[in-house]
Amino acid sequence: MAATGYRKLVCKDLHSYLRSLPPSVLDKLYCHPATCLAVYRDLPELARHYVMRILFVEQAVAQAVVKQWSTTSSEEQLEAAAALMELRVWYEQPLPGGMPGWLLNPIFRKNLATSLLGGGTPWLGNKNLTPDKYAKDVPFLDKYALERWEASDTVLDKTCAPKYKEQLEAAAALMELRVWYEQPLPGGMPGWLLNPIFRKNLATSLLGGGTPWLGNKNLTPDKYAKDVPFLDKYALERWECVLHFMVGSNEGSDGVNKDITDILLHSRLMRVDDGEPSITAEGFQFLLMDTSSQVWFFLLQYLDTVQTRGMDLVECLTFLFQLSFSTLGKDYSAEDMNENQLRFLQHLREFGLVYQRKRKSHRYYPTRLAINIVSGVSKAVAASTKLDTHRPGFIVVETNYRVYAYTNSPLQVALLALFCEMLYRFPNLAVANLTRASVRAAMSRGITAEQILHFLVSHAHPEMMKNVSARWISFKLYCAVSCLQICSSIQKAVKCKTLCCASRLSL
Amino acid sequence: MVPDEKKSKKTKYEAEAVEEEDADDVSDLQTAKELPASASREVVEAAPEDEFGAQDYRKTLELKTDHTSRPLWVAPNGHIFLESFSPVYRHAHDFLIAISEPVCRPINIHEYKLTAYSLYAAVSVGLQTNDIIEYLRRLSKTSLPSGIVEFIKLCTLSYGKVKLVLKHNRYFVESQYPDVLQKLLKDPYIQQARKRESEEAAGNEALIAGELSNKSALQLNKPMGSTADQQAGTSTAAESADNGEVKEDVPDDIFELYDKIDKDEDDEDEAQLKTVSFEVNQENIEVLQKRCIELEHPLLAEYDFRNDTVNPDVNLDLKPSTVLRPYQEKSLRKMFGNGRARSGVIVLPCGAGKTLVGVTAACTVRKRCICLATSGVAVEQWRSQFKMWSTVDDSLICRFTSDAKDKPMGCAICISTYSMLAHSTKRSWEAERMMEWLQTQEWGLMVLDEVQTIPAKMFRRVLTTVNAHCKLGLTATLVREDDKIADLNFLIGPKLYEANWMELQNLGYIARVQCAEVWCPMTPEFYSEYLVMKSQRKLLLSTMNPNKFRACQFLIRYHERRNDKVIVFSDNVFALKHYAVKLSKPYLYGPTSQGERLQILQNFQHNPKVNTIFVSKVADTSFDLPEANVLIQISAHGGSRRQEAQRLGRILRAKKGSAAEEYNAYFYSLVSQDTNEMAFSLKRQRFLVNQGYSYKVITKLEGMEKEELYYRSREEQMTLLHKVLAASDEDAEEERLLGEMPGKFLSNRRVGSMQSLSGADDAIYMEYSKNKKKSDHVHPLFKKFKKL
Repeated sequence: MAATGYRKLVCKDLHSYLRSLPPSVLDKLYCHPATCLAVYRDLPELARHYVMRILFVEQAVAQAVVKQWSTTSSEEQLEAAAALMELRVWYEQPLPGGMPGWLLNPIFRKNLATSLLGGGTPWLGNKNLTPDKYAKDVPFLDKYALERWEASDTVLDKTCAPKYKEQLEAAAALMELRVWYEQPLPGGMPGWLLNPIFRKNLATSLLGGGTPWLGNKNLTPDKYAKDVPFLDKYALERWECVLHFMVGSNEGSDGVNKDITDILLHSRLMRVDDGEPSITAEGFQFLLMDTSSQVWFFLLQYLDTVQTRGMDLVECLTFLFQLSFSTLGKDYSAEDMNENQLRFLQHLREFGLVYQRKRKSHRYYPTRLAINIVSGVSKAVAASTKLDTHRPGFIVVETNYRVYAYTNSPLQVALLALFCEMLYRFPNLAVANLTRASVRAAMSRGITAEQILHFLVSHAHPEMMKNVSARWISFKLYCAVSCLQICSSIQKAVKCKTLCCASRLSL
Repeated sequence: MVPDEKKSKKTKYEAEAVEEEDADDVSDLQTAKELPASASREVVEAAPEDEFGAQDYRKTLELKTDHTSRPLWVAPNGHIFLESFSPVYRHAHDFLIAISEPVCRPINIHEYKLTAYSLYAAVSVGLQTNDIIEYLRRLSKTSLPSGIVEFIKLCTLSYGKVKLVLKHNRYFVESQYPDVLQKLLKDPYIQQARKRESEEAAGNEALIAGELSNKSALQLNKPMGSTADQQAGTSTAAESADNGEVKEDVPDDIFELYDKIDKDEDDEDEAQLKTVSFEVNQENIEVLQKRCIELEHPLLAEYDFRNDTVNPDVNLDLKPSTVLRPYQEKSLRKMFGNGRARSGVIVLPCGAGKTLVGVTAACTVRKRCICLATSGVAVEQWRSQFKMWSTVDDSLICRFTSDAKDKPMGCAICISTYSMLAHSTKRSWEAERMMEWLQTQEWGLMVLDEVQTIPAKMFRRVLTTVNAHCKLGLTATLVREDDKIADLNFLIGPKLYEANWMELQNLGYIARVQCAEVWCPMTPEFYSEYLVMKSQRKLLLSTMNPNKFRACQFLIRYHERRNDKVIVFSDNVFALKHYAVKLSKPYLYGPTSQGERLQILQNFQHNPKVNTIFVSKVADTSFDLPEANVLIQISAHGGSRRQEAQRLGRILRAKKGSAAEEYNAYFYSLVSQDTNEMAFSLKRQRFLVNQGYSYKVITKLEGMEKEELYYRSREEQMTLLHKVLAASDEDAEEERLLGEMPGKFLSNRRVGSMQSLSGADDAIYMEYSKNKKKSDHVHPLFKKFKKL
């Protein structure tokens, strides 16, 4: 390892990952509604609003006009749906089945013999989308929409206080992701044009229509139907196999094949020592992340290697995005998938992202790992849907540096052993000591104090959480300080020498 | 990690822990011989290690299906872990305190250790082997390791079966188990010691049958129904609420057995136990005791003071207004559980009212009582406490110190210091008479204050000088790895009770203390000198660090503004004087005369202008300063955990009227950064951390730059440095306590540098013992030569 220090493990979020992709790939990605929706979801709020506004506008919109749309007081009216409501293009109405649905303005519908749709459904988890009864007349719709919107602009402008910086950011984000691009208007003014493919697909995904994303039409009820707890358990087991393999624990590493090893090597989470792969400093940092971040990071690394395997990145990504909009506990058909997709599916099966009873089985279940894949990295949703929350915290840290872990998982014990001195192992408890020496050993492996703290705090036992008030905070501070203490003692050796030299010189 | 490496680290740690405490006394070999072999028994364990170097018990222990509702893990090496958030925590806690030593008791999970001593103590307060094992089995989350069951049996079966009882001024060896007595009587020495009615009856082996009342001898005031009942009421109410809530998810067997054990402890019913006994000659007691220990049936000393008609009763009672706190009562119940007085040690935090426990014990026994304290000031405090809590007449109390010698005639309570009694060189005529009188008396109760501070040798001298039927040791810090504690176990008796600091703090019986370690960076000039100096000088330099001085000055100012009372501790006299003089505060150390001491202390307590005093380590123990609530420590005795705890005890007395704040007392330890002090301070804190205290590290004191403090400029700092460098070697040393502690072990009390202390001394010692060993194997011819 280089003496200069260790690379800090950076886990990109979806936005920055997409930005790093070449424009051609991005353009191709937008060919599927699921991708568009995922991208749309990950956009900044203002950007989402822009997209919404010009969703049906086929020609470019003047930038000056766009500028005037925005406002800093975000809650007021700028959420996309709210904007639409205000414009009375559609409004909410419960469907006969009790499901909420969007209903278009009746006047609008009445005026249009052929209107957009007669009862959009929420786009996630709706199995049987009824065929659209009404023929779509897009040009007319667009025209109408544009008219309405432009009419409302005057209203909006009065209430909006534009802020330049935020606008720029939103515009830049859209540019980067190639959601829109600059195009001069006929009059020579600069204008924005929404990426036509993106527009089309996002519209489909929002409004419904198009073909079902994942093959699920012709599936007979599964004889071996699996419920959600089973899937969760399965996913975790599979995923922990990978982690176990990384720490070299002999438990459950049988399920790790060459593909996974390759990815781990490629991502530098492991490296080959004496013919055997062994974990690196980055690998330790990786282990201390929470599960969804781990999966996301791992998949990014996987996608990097996709092309070398002769698979199409766009295809994989598209499938991944489709998966992320699927329903947990529901089975999907693999019949219509092509060769590459099937290979990809097999890989995902290895990581525990999908469950397939047999290799040749024509149905598969996405697991929570797959469904959270995109949401896991965007901060807003992370807290609520993380897989980790299904497993209660298990670590009790005492003020005398004693660490008790209520676990029998060899993986968790192995993680703890990274920075603790293990003392006892009971059937459901591991007892360890946090010592200067053990923390120093961890730091020499490139693990930082923050990572240790994060690990301890995010896995804290519910009992520790009970004292959430002052005690918990003081514990956190205490932890931080004691870790600092330990860090500083390491630096001290170096500091002492320099200080000594300096003072000698000065006297 | 290589497991070997780890192991060596661990053993090293333990070794350090052992050598850490005072080198006061090289525990004398004589005592060691007198301990039964089983006392030094350790739990033997052979557990496989897992890949991380931990003891792996997963294969050997089996998890019970209802493990979530049980609170304990028992490791095969005797360590026990207890969840403090378990519904049956209270029960398990009481039980564990009785049978094992607490190792650490922080917030969530407590650790205890089963030792031979702790089991011995458990038996002596009346627990039965089978009950211990059964209850432990029921409380445990896993199956009980077979080694532990063996160990408990081994340690408890022979202990506590035989008692030496003083009844009607005749000594009896008493037991509930006739077969044990028969076994003892087979021994020729014991045969000899047995006293027979007449020579003819020699063949008659019949034992005297008797009955033992189970009623507690402890009679406490139940006055002011309101307060006492309230206390009891709240505790029982809480208890019943507790029980009601959780009973569903707690296995019934735990409660069943708990009720049983609880009854044993509370002694509510007056069950009569059949006992058998034989009488022994008084002059043969020593031989008998020694022999019994060799036979692994150590005699428990019990004093049947109710039936003692030879020694006159003393007119001594608790005042009606005196009310004991629940934990004080509990500790005394253990002592007077079966209608007699057991000898033993009661461990309570400093400031939790140890003196009251001693006074109550004296009032319960109502015989002549001798109290031993560590210093003259402490003697005065005992005297005033006796007068405060009990109805004792002033003429009944007699002080015996170098400064104050009251007339002994007709007195019932004698208060003295250890050094007075253990003094081996020539005494004044008056003292000589006094000693003679002391020796001729037969004392009912001996109360030994701060029992942990006394080296074994001196202790033995005291015990042989004074005849007492029952001994009660009081202490706050029974430091455990030390051999000395083993001595205590057999010289006084087992540990009867140990309180939980955190619990008392939460209940408001002792102050809520914020502990803080303040890091003071060394100035470059001081540090460069520090690096080239010898170890003793290093300590002086780090104590005199100008930044430390400034921090100290700042803290004193800050707290004086809040109307706090501040005590500053320094072990180094040079630093003590310098700090005090520079800040113009009164100071107090070894050579300060008794009168001056009392004057300073009284001023500190009552004079609103004296809010800060500087003291040396003479004030470590037994200085009762109820007003003080801030303690600043600028230099200390190496890594002594005991000293840290004792010092904390100076501010632990519960503070009034400050319930609003989270903390009402402050303990600052000033540490010079990057010096030895850092390592020492970590060591010192171990005891308190194990009691559940946590130290806050302060790297920067807020608002210090704004204050006008000394030693701001470099010139000032340099003059200070010159002064420090000019100090003599003696100044650099820690204070020696003259007058209080005699002779030999003084010279060992030196600062320091653990290296010189442990390293050098140990090396010499090792070599010496080696030589000695060798000489044992020398050819007899050479031995003769040597003698010539």
